[in-house]
Amino acid sequence: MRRASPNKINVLAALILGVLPLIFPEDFLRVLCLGAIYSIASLGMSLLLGYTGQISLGQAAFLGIGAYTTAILTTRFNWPVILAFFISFLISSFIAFIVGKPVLRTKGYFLALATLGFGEIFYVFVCRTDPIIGGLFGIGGVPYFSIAGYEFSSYVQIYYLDWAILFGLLLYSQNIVNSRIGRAFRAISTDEVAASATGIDVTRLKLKAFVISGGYAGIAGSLLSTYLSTAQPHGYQVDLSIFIVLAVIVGGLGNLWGSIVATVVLTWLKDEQLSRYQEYSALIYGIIIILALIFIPQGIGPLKQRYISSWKLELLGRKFKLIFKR
Amino acid sequence: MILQIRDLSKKFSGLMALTGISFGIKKGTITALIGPNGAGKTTVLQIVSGIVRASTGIILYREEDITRATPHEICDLGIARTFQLIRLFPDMTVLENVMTGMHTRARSGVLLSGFRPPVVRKEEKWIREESHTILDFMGIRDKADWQAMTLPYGQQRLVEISRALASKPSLLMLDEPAAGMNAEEREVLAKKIMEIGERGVTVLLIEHDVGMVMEISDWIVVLNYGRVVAEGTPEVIQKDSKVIEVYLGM
Repeated sequence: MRRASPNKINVLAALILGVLPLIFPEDFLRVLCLGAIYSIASLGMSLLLGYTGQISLGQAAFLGIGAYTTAILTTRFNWPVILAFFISFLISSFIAFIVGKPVLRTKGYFLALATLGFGEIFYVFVCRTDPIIGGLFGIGGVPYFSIAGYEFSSYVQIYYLDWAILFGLLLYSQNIVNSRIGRAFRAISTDEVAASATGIDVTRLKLKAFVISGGYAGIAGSLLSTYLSTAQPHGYQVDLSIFIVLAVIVGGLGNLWGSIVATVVLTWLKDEQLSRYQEYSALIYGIIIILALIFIPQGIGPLKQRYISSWKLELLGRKFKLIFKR
Repeated sequence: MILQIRDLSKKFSGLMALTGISFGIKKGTITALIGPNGAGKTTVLQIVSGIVRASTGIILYREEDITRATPHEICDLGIARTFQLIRLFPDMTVLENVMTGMHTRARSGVLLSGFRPPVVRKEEKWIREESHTILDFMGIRDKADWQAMTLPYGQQRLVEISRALASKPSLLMLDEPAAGMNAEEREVLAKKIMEIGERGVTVLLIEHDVGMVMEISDWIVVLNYGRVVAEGTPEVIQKDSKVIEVYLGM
């Protein structure tokens, strides 16, 4: 069973993505831009859920923190966007650290609930804090992303910007996965006791994965606010958190490219096809998640293999069980 | 003495698993911990490796109190172990399992690993080569790229021992390594354990195969109902009336 080397896939994907804007109409690029932004958050989630086996249902809050930080710094303090972008990343990582420290003491359902709670706290907080962050209406007038005066304002420009950032983070994530840290993450996801007996500081590494996922989400949030030119509370509710978890599961646990592809497809579904049925999003996501778990438990990655060997299925069952275990 | 256990007790919700046991392990020896099922052998290992907390008592490793240390700290200090029921990382290859065992010996952190600069590459290469050497030593180098879960049981044990060795332990604790092995595999295993001992690693062994224990250990500690019944060299233990009573009920 030979797999194509990740480098080959990367180069091929980069080439395809590079020429897409020349072929596709701007309309479709819009979805791809959004897809790239959400994919950044999915990448972080993939490291946390897919590799380390820890769930977070509060990821929308970290996107929100990134979006609001950028929005506040650029509109209230007139900071350059690029600086606000980096500060957004740092702040969301820092808050992930503060939140993760106590929250990661819990496991499974309790971790899901605790992170869900954090997401709700964030939402209520931004809704109720009028003077600085605009309450229900949020903050408008966030400028486009710009580097040293060069502004990314057309879809094509934003497309290249977002995919370049996503691609950089993908390479960074792939390097982590193939390192000592990545092996420790994977060890934790399947057997915490054996991992700790092997010398891995489980608590610390879980926190690291959580901070990475929070930081990535912050980057995504910052880009989202410059793309939408606003930061509004309703954009960062629990349905976004579930959307990201869903993308990682559909993309396949432990499959970085898979989560990107799944995020783009789901973004297209969410944004183009289902936008009229916003209020049913939880129901629709629920159905997708159940169908995915039944028909493609390994995610969309290995679809070309028709059969999953029994030990792989057993392993998957074990992983899901561990994710949702007390 | 590399390890000293002093007056160790463990109570599991009313049940005394260990009642004030004390014994020491001399550096560079192979010490076997034997006794009937439920005697508390595995509990001793769980406590020494930090996975289970002792109710009372002290564990000294190189004169240092490790009674309250966490499992990863204990591994970092140089005590590695295998499990009674094999606990390999199932989604990894054999090689990756062993490479994971080298976690405490490598230093690259998250930030640096993501950029994969030459330092990290070099360390990764070293981890890979060292792991291959260990697999070579255990005689399973040809299985390096196999998925750990697809190997036969006996070989999974060897992988687990390799993973423990990868942390370069001073004290290696093996919990029933020969369980589920056939006679031939046991023979190989016994030889490997002796070779590990010759390399200067102190070994603490829990084993039911009395023949193997008598053959390879320098010192034997016999547990029964959570107490030390006897300890001594294999020759002494073989003749000890209390041990015969424990094993044969006479």
